[in-house]
Amino acid sequence: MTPISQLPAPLRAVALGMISLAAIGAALVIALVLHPDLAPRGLDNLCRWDCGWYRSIADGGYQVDPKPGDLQANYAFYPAFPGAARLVMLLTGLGFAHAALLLNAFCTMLFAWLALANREVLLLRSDRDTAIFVLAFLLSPWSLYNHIPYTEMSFNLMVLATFVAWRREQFVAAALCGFVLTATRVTGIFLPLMLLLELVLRERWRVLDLLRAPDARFRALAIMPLGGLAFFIYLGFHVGDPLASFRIQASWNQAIRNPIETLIGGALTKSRDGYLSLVAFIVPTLLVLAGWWRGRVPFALAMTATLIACSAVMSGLMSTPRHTLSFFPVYLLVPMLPRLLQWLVLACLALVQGVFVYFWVLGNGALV
Amino acid sequence: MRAARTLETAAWLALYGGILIFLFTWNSASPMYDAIFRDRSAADWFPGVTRAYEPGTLINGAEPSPYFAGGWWRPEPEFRWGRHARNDIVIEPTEEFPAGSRIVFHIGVSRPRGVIEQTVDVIVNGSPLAQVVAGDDKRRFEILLPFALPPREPATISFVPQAAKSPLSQGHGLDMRELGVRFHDLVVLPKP
Repeated sequence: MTPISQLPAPLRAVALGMISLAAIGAALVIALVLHPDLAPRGLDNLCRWDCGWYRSIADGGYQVDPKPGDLQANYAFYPAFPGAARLVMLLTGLGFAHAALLLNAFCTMLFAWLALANREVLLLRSDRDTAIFVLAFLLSPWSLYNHIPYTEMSFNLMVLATFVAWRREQFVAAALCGFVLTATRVTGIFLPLMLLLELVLRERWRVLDLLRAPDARFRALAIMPLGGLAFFIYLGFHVGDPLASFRIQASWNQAIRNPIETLIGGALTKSRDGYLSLVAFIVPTLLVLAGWWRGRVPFALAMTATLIACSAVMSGLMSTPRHTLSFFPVYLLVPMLPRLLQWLVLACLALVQGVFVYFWVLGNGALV
Repeated sequence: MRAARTLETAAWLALYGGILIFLFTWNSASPMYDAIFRDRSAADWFPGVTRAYEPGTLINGAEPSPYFAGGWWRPEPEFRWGRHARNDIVIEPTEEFPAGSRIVFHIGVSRPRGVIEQTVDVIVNGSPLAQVVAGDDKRRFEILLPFALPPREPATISFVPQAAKSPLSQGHGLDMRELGVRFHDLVVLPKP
């Protein structure tokens, strides 16, 4: 039998993706065996909380007005993921949850393939290191959000695709991927901004020349934000307010606030959730910055991860672990560990992921 | 050739400038959307409903109501929190409330760090009428109107707590909302 390490990159990617899907599937089966009342819903058990919003967009598009009773509206959520899920629904005839799970499984394998085929861009030193990184990322407990019908996996894939295309100087591909990235989540704008910062720092002596005679890099960076902006323009004509996405989030109290006050308050809450949120902000942020310092995490990815963590704190501590730990750059550090520890970390991550899946299926609100 | 490429930069700047102007100036939303999300002069969505107020009507914080104007969060099972430091109720009396009419209400407040109670200013049509001391329990208050509220004219009853802080910033929990007054109910009764 051929070992996984000797397979061509696409097959290795499929193998790694299948391992992560098998882990999720096993945890789901255990949850359904222990709670047979949930069994009739099958895979639909993975569609909880914000999944309902994505379903509503994929099924019926964006609302015009909020619901009278509770002023809820689905335009807080960006269109790329539910739009792609809608396409899968049309192509396969599946319902939303199944189509979105299929889409995320496809994105998982594409992510693994991109990483395996471009390991040097990610500063990974061998195929083995790349496989360990991909496994750590996909088996992480917070990768639950990469597998369920949430936008996280599309986001991770688009960040990686944009970054790889940019580094390989395939600027048309980078522009297109960046366009989709900014239409996936509000934090999608951070990578283009960090690529711009990197470019300006590198070319600081000839920035004016670059403005006078823009090249393909400039053009790619100018196109990337248009995905998110196109969504705002659509909302302007559809809802009547281009900033409806931000305003509905502000009405849910997801507006920007003083992050220092939030961090101090989180430390003083004396609650498990407060401490976990603080740790989920501080540890991954310090790790990616240390990884960048040690030359193991590319600058643009480290800074993007840091900005995502900061934005999570600036809009309160809610869901901080999901924002910081379902994003892939921090897992680039796992191959730095001693080999034995790598396997131990992978086993622990997979085990805890199973626990997360179990409680997610039961609808535990702490995982929102 | 170089001039054409400089023109490209100018075109990108013009495109982004135009988009930014569109984002911050375009408004074709419904009046109700504007009232709730832009002006924040209404808290609940009641298309076509007026703020006409029959004497003795109980305004319940736990239910959506057209009387909640600016400065309120969504209703909760037993009350609703004020949003930030000014929480307005607007009524349009169907008949005059003469001087000596009473405003009866039950409120509480969120508890800033190190404080058990805080004062809440009650202001009617811009005139401060009372300062009540509220705690984190539900307390009943009753104030007399020293002036009349004319019929069919909007009257604004405002609650202004000393400090509106989020429980998160005070180390009391992960609730990030800046909480003003905790409003249970209010009724305006005519002079007997």
